[in-house]
Amino acid sequence: MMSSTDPFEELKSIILQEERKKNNAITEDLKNKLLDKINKIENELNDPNKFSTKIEGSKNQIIDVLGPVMGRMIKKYIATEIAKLNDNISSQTNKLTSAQYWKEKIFKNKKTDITKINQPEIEEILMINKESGLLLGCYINNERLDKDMIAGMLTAIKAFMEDTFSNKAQEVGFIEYSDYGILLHSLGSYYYSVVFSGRKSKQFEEFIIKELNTFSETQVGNINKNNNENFNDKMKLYFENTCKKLKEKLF
Amino acid sequence: MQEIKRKIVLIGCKGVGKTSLIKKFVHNHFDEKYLSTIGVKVDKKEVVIGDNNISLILWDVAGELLNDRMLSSYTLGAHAIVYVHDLTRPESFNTCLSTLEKIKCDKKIIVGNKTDLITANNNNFSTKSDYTTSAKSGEGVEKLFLEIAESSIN
Repeated sequence: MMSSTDPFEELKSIILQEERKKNNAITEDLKNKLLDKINKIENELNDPNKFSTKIEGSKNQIIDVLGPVMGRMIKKYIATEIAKLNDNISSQTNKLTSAQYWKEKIFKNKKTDITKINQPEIEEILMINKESGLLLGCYINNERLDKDMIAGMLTAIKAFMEDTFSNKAQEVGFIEYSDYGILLHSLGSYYYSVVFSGRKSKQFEEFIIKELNTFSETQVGNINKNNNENFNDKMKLYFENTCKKLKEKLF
Repeated sequence: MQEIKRKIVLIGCKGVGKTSLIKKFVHNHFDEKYLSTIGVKVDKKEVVIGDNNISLILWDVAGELLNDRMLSSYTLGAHAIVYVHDLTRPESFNTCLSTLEKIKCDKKIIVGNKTDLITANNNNFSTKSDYTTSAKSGEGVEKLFLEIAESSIN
């Protein structure tokens, strides 16, 4: 009768029995030694004093390797943060130095609407003959210098800039002075000079140009070359309404 | 009263007294100190002639710009061009006629300034000036500008 076990397997277990025992003993020994080693390393890593001592010992090497990388990262981060800070400061300064902010803060004694701070406000609109620089009409919100002299000087500056820095086909469109901006818009034989305080934006520029064009289309036929009092009244009426519309808008 | 505006441009070499003439006419003031004008300076004086209130807008163009291409831009639309020269410096008249020829304007006036400095020794300079003036003493200054204003409305 044949045994149920495989004769080959039975033979193998008889012949290699001794070797297998040795092998198991070695494996067990190796396993224990490895476990000891791992435990030891694990304990060292978990011990903060020992780890920091090791880092302390190789501090110079670490600095050599990580220094340049960290330096670049820190430099980039600082530059980005400073740029952000600058933008923020400029924006806050513009708001805090705007006349409107302090007007509302001091005189009106009411809570300031932050969205209205530094909004553009029209100070004056001059309509000037392009060639002679003579004033054709004006809308003045705050009377300061003589408007005839301003018109002359603006024309001189405009002519100087156009002659010096560009060809005749190009025209000066904007002049900035202190807290004021001067928007210049040419139409035929004359140009408008819009003096405003506050921040200039594309929307504001578009709004003003649209208003000036509409005024020219509807009112400019009324200019009397030798007496512009009536024309000034028309300008005042029209641009007072423009200023009202401007206050309702936010740019 | 009718409101009228007129542009008058003063040109001429450096140091002939263009700024002083305007200062004398507008502010009735003369300064011995010489300050060179940079670019252009615009001033204004209102005069009444008959029923007209005339605003004279006076453009004082720096002497350095006399031969500049910008001169034609500054003189555009002017009712009168006043060429000022120094009666004691003949060379200040040298380019007068050629400069005026280049400018388009119906009214061109030649003014010899500094009559107060004319002495027997330097009185050998004769030019065809339309007016002679002294910004220092005021001689002829008022007459010059008032006659320009008057002619501009006729």
